Amino acid sequence: MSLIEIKGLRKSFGTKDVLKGIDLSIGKGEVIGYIGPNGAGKSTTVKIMLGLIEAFEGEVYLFGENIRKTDASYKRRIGYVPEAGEIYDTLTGYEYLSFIGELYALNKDVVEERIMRLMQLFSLEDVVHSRISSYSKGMRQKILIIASIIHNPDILFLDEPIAGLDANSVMVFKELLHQLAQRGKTVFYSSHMMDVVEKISDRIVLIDQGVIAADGAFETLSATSHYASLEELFNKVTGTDNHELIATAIIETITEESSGKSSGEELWNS
Amino acid sequence: MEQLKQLRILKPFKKIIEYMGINYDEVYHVLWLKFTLDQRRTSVMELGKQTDEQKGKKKSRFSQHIIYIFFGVMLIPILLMTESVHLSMSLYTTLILFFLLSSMISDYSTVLLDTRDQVMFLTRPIEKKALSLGRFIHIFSYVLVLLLELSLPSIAVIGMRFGIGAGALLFLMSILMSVFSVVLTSCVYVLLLHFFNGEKLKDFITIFQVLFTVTITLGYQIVPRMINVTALTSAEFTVKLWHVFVPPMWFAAPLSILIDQGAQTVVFVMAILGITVPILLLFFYVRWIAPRFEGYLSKMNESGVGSHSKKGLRERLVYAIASLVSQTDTEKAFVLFSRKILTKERETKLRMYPGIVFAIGFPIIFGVMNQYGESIQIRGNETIIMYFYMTPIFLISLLVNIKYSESYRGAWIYKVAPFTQHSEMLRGVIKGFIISYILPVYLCIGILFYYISGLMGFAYLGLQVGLAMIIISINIFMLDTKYPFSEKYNPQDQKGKNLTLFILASIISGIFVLGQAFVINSSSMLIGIAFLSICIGYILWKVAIRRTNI
Repeated sequence: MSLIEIKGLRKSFGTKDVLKGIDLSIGKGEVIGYIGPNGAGKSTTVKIMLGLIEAFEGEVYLFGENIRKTDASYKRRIGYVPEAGEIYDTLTGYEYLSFIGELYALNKDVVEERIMRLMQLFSLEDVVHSRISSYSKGMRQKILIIASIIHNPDILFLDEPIAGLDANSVMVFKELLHQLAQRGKTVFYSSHMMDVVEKISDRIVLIDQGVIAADGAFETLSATSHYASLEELFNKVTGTDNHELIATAIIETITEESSGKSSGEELWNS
Repeated sequence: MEQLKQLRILKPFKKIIEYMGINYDEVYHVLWLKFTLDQRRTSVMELGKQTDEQKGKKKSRFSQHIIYIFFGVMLIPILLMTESVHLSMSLYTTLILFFLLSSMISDYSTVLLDTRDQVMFLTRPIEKKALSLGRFIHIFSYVLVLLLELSLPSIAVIGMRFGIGAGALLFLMSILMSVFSVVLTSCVYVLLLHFFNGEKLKDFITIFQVLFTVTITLGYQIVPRMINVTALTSAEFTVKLWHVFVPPMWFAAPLSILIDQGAQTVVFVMAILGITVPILLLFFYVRWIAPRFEGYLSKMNESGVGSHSKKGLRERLVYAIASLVSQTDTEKAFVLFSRKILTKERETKLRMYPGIVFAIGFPIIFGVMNQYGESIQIRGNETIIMYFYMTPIFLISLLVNIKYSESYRGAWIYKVAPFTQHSEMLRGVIKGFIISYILPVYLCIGILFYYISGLMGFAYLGLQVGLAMIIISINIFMLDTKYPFSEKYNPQDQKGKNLTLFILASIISGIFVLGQAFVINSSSMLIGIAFLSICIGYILWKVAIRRTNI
């Protein structure tokens, strides 16, 4: 049975079509690398699945339930790290997390125990009772990560989750995702860091201009067309394989004195 | 999660909330977060420790309550002013409703339309209707407290004069009025969001806020001049059929029935409307609006497809003026940049526009109002021109806005940019301000003067421009900032300076008024003095603008 089932998903803002028909089926224990150029519709897809955006065409099933028809209780099994990292920073780390625990209706003692242990494991034990406004960017990110897993969810939606984390924490986090997947959790990971995505995900879903442009394990995707890295594949599929030309044109643009049309300008316009 | 004292009030309503099909705990959680954040909103940067600022804020919140109660006391004379209970009650409810609706729109709009909590709650197992209800209760509680502070003195007076029953009825009507205003505002916002995106709605709110400020201030001047108080107290007040469409009269009706007894059928209809409309609106809100509210609210962040802005005539004109007035390219860049910020930021517009409207509106009103009894005549009426010497007084508090910006954090770009002279930057910004706000005002005045006294109007305009240049130069002298748009707006910042400026500007304007009234007796003299004052203004301007290399 697939945990996430998306059929013919379309969404437009005003006259701009963001999603033009997405079909996707994701099972238990999969780590999906959800990638695509800026503005391709990645965040919109995630927001629709979380119920933040209601008006869309097509059908979305989570845990076998149509999210249009079900109440909010399916979100009990979902964890989410938002991209913009908005956080109520007048609360202390402890207050924020225990409030999150309340929202999932977890037992108070269990939550307290988990917060203390998790904050220690993420080396935040010194700032448990300090206001989040005093945290560094990486520390805030850790709070968001803890908030997304504290209720032991079955699906994790992660949007640039490691932004601002130091190298040690990144290593712990990657390993965490790996082990979670082994225990049957599904991870939906969207990021622009291709090397990380390539390493952690066992299935790549590439979305470009509102449609799925590539879907499959990196090995299968690269085997057919001999790409050395995900980065290369990404560039090929999204049509920016002329990166060298563009870079040269950029340099030409900033070094040239006259305002005559350079090859770069033509390239941008084409 | 600590328990919050104010949330104990919610407990008795648990049954009702659950009856509406909403989970009580979810609503409690939403309210817990909102009230906790409200309590802490003061200290953003400080961690843990209670700062002086925080104490000061608490004190100012307390004094705000005192001010509302004081307003409430001021309303008492209205209740006792006329013979007709219905008339005085209607005046009273009109004021209260006006106050409520405007504070709803200007103070609580941001709270009502906050989308940050959607990410917090809607990504977790919290139903949309619980979030909507929490939002509603949160705002309603503030509006209710405000209203009770305003109306408690009146309730006491009514209770003493007409009996406890009357007091209790007024209390009940006050609660209904606050329900009415909160629900009505929410419904209107949803309606607007149905047709427009969030940016448009924010524009509507800004326009309303400017109109509100202008109405209050101008109304303060106009209403006493128009209403003949003695006529109001003695005249027999008769309720007319169309009064049914005036909401404040609904809320006044029940009390007038109780006190006057044997009232007309129309009044009974109003009383029924006053009681049923808020309840029906509330029902409608809970049943139809609240479940859809969050969905509509997510439109707040949609800004629509930005159309490619075509260079219109106005932009080309501004560009031409900018090239004309700036000496260097950096300066020109800042003229155009500051124009963009000063005319696009909502907060800035909110502080600018009322001043601009007053600068033109007040002289006209005073000029016209003082023609006692005569038919209003503008053409050829040169006394109106005299009133325009007060225009600069309304403009002095505007220049300081070039210090502030909503995105003041972006000011680091000035520090990394390789300017040899910071003065160029500030000079450009000051010129941009004048082009955007001062120039249009004097263009309007010029057209009006031409209408009043033909070509001689331009000589009078010359005097006005000279005066404006002198006062703006003084204004620049008193400016104390190194970087434009680099500070968060702080109303306390300018208090002392504004007073000094006000006194100085009043004295100089006074000299001009005396000059026009007693010294100038021929048109050649008028032209000469106008020329002279522009020269003085220009010299001062040169000195002031050179001084901006602070």
